[in-house]
Amino acid sequence: MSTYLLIGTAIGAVLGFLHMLSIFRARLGRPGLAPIKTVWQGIWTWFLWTLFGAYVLTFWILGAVFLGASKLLNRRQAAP
Amino acid sequence: MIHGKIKNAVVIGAGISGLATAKNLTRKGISCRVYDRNSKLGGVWADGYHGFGVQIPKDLYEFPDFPLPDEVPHYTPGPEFQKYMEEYCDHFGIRDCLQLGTRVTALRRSGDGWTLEVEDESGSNIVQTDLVVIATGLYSETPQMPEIEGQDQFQGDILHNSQVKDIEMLRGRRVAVVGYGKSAGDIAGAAIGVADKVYLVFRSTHWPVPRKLLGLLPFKWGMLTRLVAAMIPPYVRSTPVTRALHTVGYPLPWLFWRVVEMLLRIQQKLGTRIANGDTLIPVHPIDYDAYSEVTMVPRPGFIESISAGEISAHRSGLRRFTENELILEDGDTLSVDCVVFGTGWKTGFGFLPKDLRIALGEEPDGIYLYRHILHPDAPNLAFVGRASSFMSVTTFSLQARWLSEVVARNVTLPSKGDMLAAIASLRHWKQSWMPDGAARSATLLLHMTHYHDELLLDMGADPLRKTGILAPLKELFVPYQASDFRDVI
Ligand SMILES: Cc1cc2nc3c(=O)[nH]c(=O)nc-3n(C[C@H](O)[C@H](O)[C@H](O)COP(=O)(O)OP(=O)(O)OC[C@H]3O[C@@H](n4cnc5c(N)ncnc54)[C@H](O)[C@@H]3O)c2cc1C
Repeated sequence: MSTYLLIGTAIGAVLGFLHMLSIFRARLGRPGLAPIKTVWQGIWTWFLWTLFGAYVLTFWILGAVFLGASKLLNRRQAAP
Repeated sequence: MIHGKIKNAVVIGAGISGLATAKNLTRKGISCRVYDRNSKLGGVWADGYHGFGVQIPKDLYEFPDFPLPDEVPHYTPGPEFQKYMEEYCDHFGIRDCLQLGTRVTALRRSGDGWTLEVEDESGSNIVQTDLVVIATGLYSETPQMPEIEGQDQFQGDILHNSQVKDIEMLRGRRVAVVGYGKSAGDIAGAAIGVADKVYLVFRSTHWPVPRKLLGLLPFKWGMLTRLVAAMIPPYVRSTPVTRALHTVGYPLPWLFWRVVEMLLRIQQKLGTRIANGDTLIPVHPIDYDAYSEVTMVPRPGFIESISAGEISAHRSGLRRFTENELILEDGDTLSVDCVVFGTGWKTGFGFLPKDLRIALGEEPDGIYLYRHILHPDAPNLAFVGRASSFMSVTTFSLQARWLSEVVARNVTLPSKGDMLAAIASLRHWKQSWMPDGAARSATLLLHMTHYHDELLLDMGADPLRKTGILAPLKELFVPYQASDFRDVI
């Protein structure tokens, strides 16, 4: 369980970091957008991804399983 | 595209879009005339069917710079909204711009500006102007009334829902309401206990959005946040993060929408058995269906009335009329003496000349525009209100502000080629996945957040509207409301 949490958190941290960079790229240097707000938004984004990384991973796995099952079911129903 | 210096403008339509446009243009020193064929301002709110009103809470549906008074109910009734629009006119001093009871019948290019033909009680007049803003709305051209075989021989009344001004018209009658949108649901609900028998006939159902999710959480918290905006199919100009979420991350939005569907099925009792063992469960997934032209926040008790049999629901098309019956495609025969079509409105621009429609690239799903407002091949012509959203008043107010900034040269437009490319990609994006419909070109709905972001960025304003130390959290989880845009309108 703790290993799973660790993996989820690590994945969250990486994704969050990338998300933060994309926020910086889109906003920093643009007229009208306060850099402080951008940095604060980026840091929070990274923090939230890291905090909820394991939950997001769980939902992703659940979604992948159900999505796969529903595709299979639909294919079976569509088959003559 | 705006050519030359704009000194005066004609706005066609005195609904929300027209009034917001007049307010913004006059603030830039442009002299405005607002024509409306109705004798009362307000557009769809000037007059409506029995009990008509706004379907979303008042904090979402008000002018950002002119809040609704506290005493107005949480879901604003139509007549109160009309009164509020009158107050808006007085507050911003635009009443003098209004020329009500005046219909624009034709529009022609003349030099950089336009010549209009307008018609009022006294006759026809010609008007010259530098800029024309079309704010004629999506729902006020002509009622959409299907032609059904045998309707000439039907001895009862065939009405459009907009004609049912007083529900007493239906007293003691056997009424079939046709449609599954808000107006059909409203009329059918109001007819219970007044009419002798109420049927509701619809070909397909749509996912209803309850006023409160799970009976607890106002729907805006579950539908109108940035988190949810990330779950919907990616916007035409989406961010790399959204694109990733909808490719590798796709199981996440997929699971999210299936859970939402499950909750709605339970809460709204969509499994309720109706005529012929059918149910109210929609055929299409919610993340697709939400972009159809029918959005319904049903009045409390609507679905319960169906399960209790107070409204007899039939999921079928209409085949034909006899003298006193409506025969459905599924073979059922309804004995009725009044049929009310809650089948919406046609949009159209009867006053636009053919060459202009061609220049605008009009298609069966409407006119595609740059930022839903301008077309580079129709200089000094703008549209406000061609963008259906859940918060139309905010959306149209932002459009009006954006337009006034373009006219004042505070917002620089891209080159003609870039604008045409943006229009082409908008058209391709919508036509590649959104449900077909006469107003698809104007459909934004849950994408309104992304659209607002673009308008704000063009105007040099920050799209992240939430404030305070916890602003990033609020951005994700707290829905936007009109007041968030107060300082940019
Ligand atoms: C019952 C109902 C409930 C709704 N609830 C919501 C809601 O909860 N949330 C939401 O976002 N939206 C809602 N809407 C959508 C609503 O239409 C828009 O929010 C908004 O009111 C449209 O405003 P508008 O000014 O663009 O157009 P309109 O209000 O349609 O005004 C257009 C005006 O143009 C005039 N006009 C047209 N042609 C001419 C001409 N040739 N010459 C002169 N005048 C002309 C018309 O007379 C009309 O007054 C609802 C609509 C209805 C009918």
